[in-house]
Amino acid sequence: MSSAPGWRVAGTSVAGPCHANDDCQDRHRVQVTPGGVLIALVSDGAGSAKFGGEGADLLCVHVANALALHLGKGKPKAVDAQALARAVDDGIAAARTAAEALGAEQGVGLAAFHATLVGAVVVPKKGGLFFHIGDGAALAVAPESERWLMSAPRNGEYADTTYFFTEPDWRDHLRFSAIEPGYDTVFVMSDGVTELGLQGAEPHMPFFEPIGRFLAGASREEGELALRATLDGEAARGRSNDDKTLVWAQAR
Amino acid sequence: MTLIPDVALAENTSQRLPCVVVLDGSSSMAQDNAIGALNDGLKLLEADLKADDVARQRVRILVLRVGAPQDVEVVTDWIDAIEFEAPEIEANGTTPLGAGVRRALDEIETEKARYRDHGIPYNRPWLFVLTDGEPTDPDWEAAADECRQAEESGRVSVFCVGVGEANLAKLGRFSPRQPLALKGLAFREFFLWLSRSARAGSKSAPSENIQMAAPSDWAVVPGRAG
Repeated sequence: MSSAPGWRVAGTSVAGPCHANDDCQDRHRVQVTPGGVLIALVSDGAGSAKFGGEGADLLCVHVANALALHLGKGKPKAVDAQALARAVDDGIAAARTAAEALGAEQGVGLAAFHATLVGAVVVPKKGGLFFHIGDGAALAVAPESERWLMSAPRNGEYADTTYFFTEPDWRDHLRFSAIEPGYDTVFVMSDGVTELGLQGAEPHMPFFEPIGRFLAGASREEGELALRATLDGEAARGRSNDDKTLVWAQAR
Repeated sequence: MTLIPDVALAENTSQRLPCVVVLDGSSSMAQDNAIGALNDGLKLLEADLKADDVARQRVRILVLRVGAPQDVEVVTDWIDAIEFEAPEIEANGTTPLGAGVRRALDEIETEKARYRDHGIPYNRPWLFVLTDGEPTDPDWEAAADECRQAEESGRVSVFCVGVGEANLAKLGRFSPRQPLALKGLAFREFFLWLSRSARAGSKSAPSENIQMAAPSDWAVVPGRAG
């Protein structure tokens, strides 16, 4: 059982078959503040970038830290979307500074750290905020799966290009959308999983529902092992050769 | 290992990678049986694409031949890799590459419009131009400029490959990317590289050029050793 106050969580990242010789360049982070606020995020480091995985790492750490710092230890009385968005912006700016410094040591520019960002910050029963640069998706589902909200992938014209936090115009591609109260389950995923779980521009519930049900009834360790096996299974590999990350959280 | 039960994957139309190959079917390709090596390479392309779960659903191929009797001939119209059957290219005539490339660029825009009409996601198209000589049609230079502009504005990624005594300087006018010289008649290695590149999943920023594996086993980069 997860010990996080207010939320049960699970998540995993698996390397895609076409990256089998490399490390997986997806990263994810899920944490709950002492005041019970969920921070869940996924970053997909570009396979074409030399330090894509490191970029994804830096982005996860800095955005999660900036949000945690802003949220502090208390229990929020309401969702201040503007302040949360500012914290995300600060976190990305900090990750860029850190990537620049690391790049200077390695003799490479920011583009060597290309990574996408998708995440959610949610206050139990009060709603929250999706934040997003590029592809991947974040999904909030109401109890009994009767309603959902999604922050959908955005790529530009081509499916093999997307937007990264390392580009000069990153703020033009940073998107926020509100999560209203009443959604108790959150999924955050990289593009390897949107290929399996989105039907066109909508979530395919026969994909997400069984996963949510299983994770809710399993220990975190057992759940993550089975999630890993599922995302790395023959059916999933035949459909997408990309790295795959899925994070799940459910308010208790 | 235990899988999560009852998980149903979405049935999506696979994203497409449009790929046009403009092949030189001029008489000179009969020398040293270059045309035979080219045709063997096409057969290998067919087999290798079909062997990969992702590539056979993703790659859409159009093969154009320049030569005689028609300046530009569609030898294989747009087809999914899973149904691709390698054509037999003949060596006959001159090399109207300008007309071939113009036709390729038109076909690419038409194909993209079809994807958009059907809500099918697609990658930036690839255009390969292979010749053992140089363009022989009178306004090839205007066509080369159009091709270079199409690449520069992100409409297509253009790769030019010279065989034998090909005029790489003229070939280089078609793309900002440096033309490559085929090592001997390493068509098989070239098509294998093309097929393997098509299944890679990594993304780049819209403003950047596509990154491909180094073509070291089939190409000689002009001006460099090896």
